[in-house]
Amino acid sequence: MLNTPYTRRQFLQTSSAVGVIGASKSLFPKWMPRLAFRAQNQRPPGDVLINIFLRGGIDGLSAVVPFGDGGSYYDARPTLAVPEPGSGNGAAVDLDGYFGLHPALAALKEVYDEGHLAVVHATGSIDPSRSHFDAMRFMEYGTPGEKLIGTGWIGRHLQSAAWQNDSPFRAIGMGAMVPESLRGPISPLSIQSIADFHFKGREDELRRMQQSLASLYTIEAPADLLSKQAGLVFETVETLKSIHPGSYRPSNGALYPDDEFGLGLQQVAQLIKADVGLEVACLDLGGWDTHENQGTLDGTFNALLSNLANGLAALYADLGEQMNRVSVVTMSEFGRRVAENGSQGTDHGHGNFMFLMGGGVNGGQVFSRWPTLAPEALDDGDLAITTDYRDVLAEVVDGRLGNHALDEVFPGHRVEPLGLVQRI
Amino acid sequence: MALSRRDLFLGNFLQATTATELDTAVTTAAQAITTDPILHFLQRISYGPRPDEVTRARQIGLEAYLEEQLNPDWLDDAAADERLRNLPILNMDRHTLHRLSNGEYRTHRALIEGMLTRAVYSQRQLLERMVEFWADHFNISGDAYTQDMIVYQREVIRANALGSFRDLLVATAKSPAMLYYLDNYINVAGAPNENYAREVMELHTLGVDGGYTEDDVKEVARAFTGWTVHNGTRTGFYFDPGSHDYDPKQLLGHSLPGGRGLEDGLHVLNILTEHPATARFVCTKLCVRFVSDTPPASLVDRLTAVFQQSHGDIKTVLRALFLSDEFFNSTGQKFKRPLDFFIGALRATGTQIKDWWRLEQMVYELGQPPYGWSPPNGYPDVAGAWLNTGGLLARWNIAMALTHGAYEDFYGDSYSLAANLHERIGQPATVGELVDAVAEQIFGAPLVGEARADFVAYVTDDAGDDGTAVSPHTLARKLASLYGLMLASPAFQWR
Repeated sequence: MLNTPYTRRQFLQTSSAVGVIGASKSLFPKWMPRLAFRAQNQRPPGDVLINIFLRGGIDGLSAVVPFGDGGSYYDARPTLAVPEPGSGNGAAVDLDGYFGLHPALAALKEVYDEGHLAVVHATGSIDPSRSHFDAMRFMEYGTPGEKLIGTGWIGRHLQSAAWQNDSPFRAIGMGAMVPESLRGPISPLSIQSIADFHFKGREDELRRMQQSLASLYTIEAPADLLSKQAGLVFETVETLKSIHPGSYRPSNGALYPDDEFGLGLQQVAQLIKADVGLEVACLDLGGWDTHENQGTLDGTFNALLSNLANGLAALYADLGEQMNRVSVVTMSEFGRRVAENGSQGTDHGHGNFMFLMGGGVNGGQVFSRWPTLAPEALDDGDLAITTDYRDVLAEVVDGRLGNHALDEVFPGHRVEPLGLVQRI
Repeated sequence: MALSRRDLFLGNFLQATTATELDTAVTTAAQAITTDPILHFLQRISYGPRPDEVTRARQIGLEAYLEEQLNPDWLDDAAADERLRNLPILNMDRHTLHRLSNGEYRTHRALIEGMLTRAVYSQRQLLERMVEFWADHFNISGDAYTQDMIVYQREVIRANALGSFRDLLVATAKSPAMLYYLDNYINVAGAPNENYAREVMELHTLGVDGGYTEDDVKEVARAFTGWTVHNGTRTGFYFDPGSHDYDPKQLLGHSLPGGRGLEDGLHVLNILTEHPATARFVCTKLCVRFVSDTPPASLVDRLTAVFQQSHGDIKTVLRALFLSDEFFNSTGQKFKRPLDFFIGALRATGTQIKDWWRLEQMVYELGQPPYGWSPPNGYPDVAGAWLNTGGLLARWNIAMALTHGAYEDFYGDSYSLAANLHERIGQPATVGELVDAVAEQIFGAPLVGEARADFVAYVTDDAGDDGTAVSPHTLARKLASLYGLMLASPAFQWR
């Protein structure tokens, strides 16, 4: 059942047809009546979205190298430029004769060649801010220049989708905090470790204490956000018990990086396979604010890129056929200045790249209206943005997730599709 | 020496804002407790009121209590000092710290233990609160430059926490920890590094909407060229004349003449200190920390004026804040950050954590290890950032671990935790007295209403009322869980 592609038609699920979502009745103790009698749920028609935010502003000119731009690139980056393909050790991995991957991203070349990875370049948020915090907020809200909207683009997607259900697993932020993109009326979960997500305490009092907590937090009639979150905790704990999170083994020999990012991806894969109703997962990979000693073939930047590539490659291997119902999108708040600074690093810039990975992606190509790095083509010294990042996301939301309410997800933005995905 | 910023921004890079739904989230239980002005006041200026502090505040009155807290030297702090004697690293000078063997680990550990020790045991609670506030405002990630962080926390943050904002700002600008963290140590003429220049305006003074431009960032970066670190000086700060840009500069509507050196950067810091946007930005943050996630404009306006008139005198601003009507009308509106919760729980139960690894595990699990925030904006301060499923479950589990650990082999905690829950509650005869006695330790006052009834029901297993006699058996079975449940309850999550 897991490998069966969904039809476009949204359908009401019945309790016998699916796993955990519909099986609530038997899962919850009798003293949690609200949870034990959930309404029936609707299933999403399309992909699970995995959104990876590369925090700190990744240097897109080193990650996806515009070697075809020649001197404009190499002159601006005397110590940091990645050599063009075929020039020996440490050279870029050619993608299309103009752009190449940093050698630390080589693990993704295979996915690209199989047609399941697409690159978009010279993209980003059109607001000129070079502040990490404003730029992230604009990007995660999906409203460049407007920071008072108070909801994120994914939050609005969940809210405006034609299907609705009250699985607590619709949206998850992996980590101690929920990212701004998930902000909205549909409460996302925040989980650091699904294996650790259970109640601890004195065994013979545990049940009685849970009962008291349920009462103290009035989870049967949640009066406020806190009691709503408390109800979600109970429900999530009960559901996770049934999928035995501690005993997961990745498929196809997939090897996730042994860190928070790798563990996060692995847990997302696990939740996808367990069919608990996951629609969106958000992960962060930070450390990209490379103002100094950025390095090319060694150092922090190189290690972070390997981590990113190995994580994505492991996810791709682990999910196998199920990648047909998964869309992975990476983004970062801005790129770096074209010219490197005096500290062998790069300061805050503007345009950047995005990765799209999934069975429904028109991969194997770089989508770019490349503005070039010629001095007169730069935006205040930085790579100009010729593709609004919202166009990339909107195509995924519309074409792969099956939500056509783009006016609500990206208010005020007229979407120009690039042909990045096959529509479901 | 780990001078590279390898670990910068490795952590979560989130800036949270306020969700409107949260405005109505204050629970009745929290309100019932905090409408008492003394308890409300103590909740905000301390890490959770201890019964002796409640008594003293009631005796001498709020204004006198506030003056004591604003003048921490007046207060004897023997309990904290005694414990800090075990952490001599906190008093070492920069050169000694850099010569320590295994220095990074030892200094990191001393930083965290020192922070928690003071927060739990110090009588100078408002000072500790302000140290925390400025450490967030001028955040430096504590997983690197740890030797310099010791000096930074002691001589920059703590020394100026209740002093003048200008002195504090200048001290941060000249501190090796900040010079490394925001890269100014390699900011040189001809190829400036803009990192510090941007953040000093965006995060330390004007705020992102404070009216500066990208050109201002570039000009400020030029002004700070040559501000670097040299191990030959006492503090580590060194102005390198050979790396400074001597050309004239134009920034924020001011002209800086050419030919000057160190004066350029000091001039910029003066401009920033006196800028009205700085007063508003800093006062807004103080109000968000101490009053509400959405503070009343009237209060922010008034404090902004006080800040400007006093040229950034921190005590004067705090006095105006804590004696304002807006402050007293904000009871129960702040959702505790994880460390508020954790330190408050340690204060309420007297639990001691004897095992460093268990301590580190706990603060990590809660999501707020001290000095663990990588980006320069500091841990977020609003409920929207912290009120979520994972955080809530972690609080519940830590509450149980802290109160059970001393009694039984609870995940191996029996040797790593020590608590004296029994000693704190006297000898209650009835379940009602027991519940009230524990509530007094945890909230500073007995509970009323449904929450109290829930705890009575818990202790009696739904088979009694508040007049039911307390037996030794009941205490043995229920006391630790009762403490734990109160710490886990909604009322304890707000301040």
